[in-house]
Formats: sequence, C-alpha cells, structure tokens
Amino acid sequence: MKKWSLLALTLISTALMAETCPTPKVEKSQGAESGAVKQETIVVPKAAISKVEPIQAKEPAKTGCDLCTLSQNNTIHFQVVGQGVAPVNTVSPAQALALAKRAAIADAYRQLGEKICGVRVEGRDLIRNMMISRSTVRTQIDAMIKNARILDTKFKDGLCEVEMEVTLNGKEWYARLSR
Amino acid sequence: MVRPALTLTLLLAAAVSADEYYIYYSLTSRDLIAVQESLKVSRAMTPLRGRAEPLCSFETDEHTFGSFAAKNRMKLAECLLENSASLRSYGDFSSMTSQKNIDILTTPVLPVQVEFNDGLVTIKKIQ
Repeated sequence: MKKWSLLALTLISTALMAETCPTPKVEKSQGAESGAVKQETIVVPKAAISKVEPIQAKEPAKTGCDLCTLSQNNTIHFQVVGQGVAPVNTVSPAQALALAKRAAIADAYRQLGEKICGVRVEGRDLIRNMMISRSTVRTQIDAMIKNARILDTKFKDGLCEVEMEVTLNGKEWYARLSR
Repeated sequence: MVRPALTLTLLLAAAVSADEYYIYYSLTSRDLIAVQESLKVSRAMTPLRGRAEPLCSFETDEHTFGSFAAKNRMKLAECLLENSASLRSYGDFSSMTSQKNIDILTTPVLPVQVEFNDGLVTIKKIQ
C-alpha cells in the first residue's frame, strides 16, 4: 500500500514540475514523415521569450572612467590649483603678490603638463658596502600647453593659489595624443 | 562738411597704421618662488604678412606699446601664456638634500599687430 502511495506522489510531483518548467518542444518537419531529410526545429516556449529584456534598448552606463578618459567623442576638463610663494625680499606687498602669482601660474602649468603629457622619471641608487648611501629621483616634464584659462586667484598669508583649466576636445586631440 | 571726412580719413589712417611687433615672454620659478622674468618686445623691421586674429584687448591711457607693456606686464603675460606656453620642469628628490624644483615657462616668439584706438589697445596675432 505504501508503495502505491509513494508512486502516486512521485507521478503528481513530476507532472507539476513539467507544468512549471516548460521544456522546448521538438516539432518534426513535414518532410520527415515523407521520408525526406530529417529536420528538427526547436521551439522555445513563449513565456521564456517574454522574460528576456531587449539589449539594444539599454544605454551603456557611464562610469567615472568614461568621463576621465579621452576618446574621439568626448571632451574632458583638466583643472588644477597652482601654488606660489612670495619672495622674502620684496619692495611692496603688491610686488609680493605679483611674484607669487607668477610662481603659482608656473606651478599650475607644471601640473597641467604632468597630467596631459606625462613625466619622465629617472631614479638612481648608490649602494656602497651593501647599503644605500644615496638615493635620487629626478623628474622632467616637457610640454606645450595652449588655451589654458585662469579661473580664480586667491592670495592669503603670502601664498597665492591660481585655479587653472584646460579643455581637451577629443575630436581634435585624441588622434595626436594617442600616438 | 570737411570735418567728418577729415575725421574718417584720420580714423582709417590710424587703423591702417597698426604697428607690428614680436613678443617673447619667459618665466623661471624655483621651489614655488618666481626668480626670473623677462618680457621682450621688438618692433618688426619689415611688414608682417598674414591673417591677423584678435588675441586680447585692454583699456589703457598709454599711446605707445612700449609704455603699455612696461606698465601692464602681468596682463600681457597672461594673454600670451593663454595663447600658447612651452613648459620645462625639472624636479630633484634626493635622500640627502631637500626637494628642488625648477619650472621654466616660455612663450614662442609671437608676431603681433597692435592697434591703439580711443583708449583701447587691441593685440592681434599674425598667422
């Protein structure tokens, strides 16, 4: 008696699983019956197709990396803050401000050059008696920068800060910089 | 009747007789302190040919470009640097000595056309 009840339960559960998980039906083509070449067509159930979302409708999500990498279609802004110090032996505060601003401009250009054109780095270690006796790192930047704009200038406690910006248009600069 | 014609002629003459100069600017900064700056202005000995594009314009009371450049060095330098600037920077980081940094900022020698007109100086880049 137990065997029959177990068998009945198994059959019912199998039937339920078959209903919930539709399997692809295999249809035989018309030529199969007539003895021609056998062709089998797999028909995916409609319920499964409706669940699939269209891929083309989705726009690629813009990440932070897309915005900071130059490509042919985008424009990126490089923004830096250069700092300059007024020399000690100045005649007047106005001269100190002017000289600090010049130094800040030079520093801002250096930072822009670092970002856009890169830095050549050379390191030297002198090892004597199995010990590092001198360690030197030299950096060099060689850049040509056009159309850099000064956005803001601040002067406080002998320190001048210049905010500077360069806009790189991908259409114009991508081909040149990607070489 | 004669006066407007004369004024027009004078205005045209003033516009036509725009002076042409070569300008060069250089700035050296060491450890965030400006140590050397030079602005060189030289009048063109021969007429410059080419298309003139407006670079910048300033209000001034001066009538010669030399005196204007001497008094407004910073404005002129910013204008030239915005157009184009060549940068060379050398940094030295050593364990024995402190950090050293030298930035040299130069503009290429730029041929410009300078016009003074009614308290306004207009600088045009010749290409």
